[in-house]
Amino acid sequence: MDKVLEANGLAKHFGQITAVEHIDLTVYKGDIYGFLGPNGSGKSTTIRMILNLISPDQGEVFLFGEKLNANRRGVLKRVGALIERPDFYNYLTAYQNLDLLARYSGLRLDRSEIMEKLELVDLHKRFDSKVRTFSQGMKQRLGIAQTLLHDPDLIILDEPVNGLDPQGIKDIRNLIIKLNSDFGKTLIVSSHILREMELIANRMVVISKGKVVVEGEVRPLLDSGKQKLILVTDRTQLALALLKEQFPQFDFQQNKLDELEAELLISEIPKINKVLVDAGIGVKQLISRNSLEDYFLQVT
Amino acid sequence: MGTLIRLEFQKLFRRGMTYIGFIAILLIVLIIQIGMFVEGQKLLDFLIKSLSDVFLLEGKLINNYTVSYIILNSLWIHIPILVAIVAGDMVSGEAGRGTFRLLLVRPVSRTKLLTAKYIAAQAYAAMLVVFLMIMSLGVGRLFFDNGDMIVLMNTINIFDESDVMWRFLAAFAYGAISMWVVSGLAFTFSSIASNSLGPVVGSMSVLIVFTIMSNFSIGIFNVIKPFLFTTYLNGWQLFFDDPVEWDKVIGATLIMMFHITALYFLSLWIFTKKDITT
Repeated sequence: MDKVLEANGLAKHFGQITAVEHIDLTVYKGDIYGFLGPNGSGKSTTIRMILNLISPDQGEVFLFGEKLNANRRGVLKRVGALIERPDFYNYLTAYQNLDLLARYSGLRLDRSEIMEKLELVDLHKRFDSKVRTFSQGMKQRLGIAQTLLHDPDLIILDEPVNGLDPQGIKDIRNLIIKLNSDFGKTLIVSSHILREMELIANRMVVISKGKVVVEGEVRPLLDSGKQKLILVTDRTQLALALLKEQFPQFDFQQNKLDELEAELLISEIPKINKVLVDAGIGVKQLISRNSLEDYFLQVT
Repeated sequence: MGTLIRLEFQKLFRRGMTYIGFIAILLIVLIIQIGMFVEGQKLLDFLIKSLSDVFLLEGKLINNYTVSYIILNSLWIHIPILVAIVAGDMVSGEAGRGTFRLLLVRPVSRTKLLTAKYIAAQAYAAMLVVFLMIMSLGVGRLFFDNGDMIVLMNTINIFDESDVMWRFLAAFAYGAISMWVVSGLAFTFSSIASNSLGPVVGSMSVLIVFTIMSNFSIGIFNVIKPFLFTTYLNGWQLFFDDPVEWDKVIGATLIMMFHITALYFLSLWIFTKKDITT
């Protein structure tokens, strides 16, 4: 597979503070790459090093196979980025902001091209409004629109759903998926809203204290560990006694909702179901869950 | 490069702050002109009272040139502040607003971006000086006629009307160069800071300290005085001496040009090494 980004041994210190100790990343063409880590883990510093906003103390960044420092302008032509808050020139309109940023990229886009980007993020009806009148969600969408101006192959979004309401989060999620599936863009998305990352990312990295904890494909990583099983039956107490007897290796507990839950391997779930059904206990719900949040808490 | 300069101008002139300097000059010059139109003769009579006993002074000495000279003297202290407000915001303003994160992830060279900003800042300083010239010499004609000009410095110089305009043009040109130094200084502070206030305060502090050092005749200050740009900020007055001491004008201009260039390279060095963390 084509490597879009490769970062090797990135490190950055600010005085005595180690922001990033050692980060290796590989992002492939077509990925939606989740970039996860607790606050202060070094996500933003790493992204800024990838984009040459911050010079690493050690390590190298390769974008599209080229060393970033050797051909910064050349490789940045293929990258669009939104870093943290979407700060624009508030005294300019949405259209003027995009026009200005396009020209900073060396492009002279005509009106229809700029309106097309605004339409993609559903801001075309507000093209003539000053950005200072925009909500946070609208600014985030405009932020994504500006990443698309030069039709980049790689889009980097740092905390794109920060401060958004549920509808805003959903809009951005759909937009990210659309950019990947319909336009073939590779995306790196950092977020602390893990549920969102679980829904959109195919590969991910988790960093903690400036180091990579784990990197790989999301689904196998999530499936490799124990699952949390939640059972709802028509006879809770009987089911609990039976399961404790038949599966003493697992710690079945009744929670306050009259559900039973335990952490176990995914391969055990069919056996548990069979034992309950054979005993005549009605299984109303059987939910196996392994959330990114659980995984994240395990590894960080 | 031309595109980047145009973009910087577009941003500059779409912001209200940019016009503060022009409005301030407009108001101050108009106030002085109206004041001189109403009470100017009384003021001049007071100033040249002792001369009137010795010389026979004929004609209208309160004229457009004399008032323009008074305006130059009084405004030359305030224009650096107006220049610093805009130059000090050129880089730090982008950092403070977070818009560097938008600009510097694009395929734009940091060197070119900073150079475009430096040119825009210096052009703004020149525009302020040109505006001052238009207001004082041009708008002043609405209130006053031109005429011979009397200049009281260490000596008394009286210039014939036909010998004055070129002196003003040269003085304003020199003034623009001295404002470029102030602008360059504020710009350099701006390339370090992440807010707009710091560079203005910083550059004004340097201006005040250097001006004090330039005006004190104490041993160590005398050694460094020739290298301080503040020693030459008032050099526009050299054009109202007779004869003009061209060696001093050229020397002062070269030292200021050196400062303008050095401050540009210092800003560039700082900016190209700067981590964008805001």
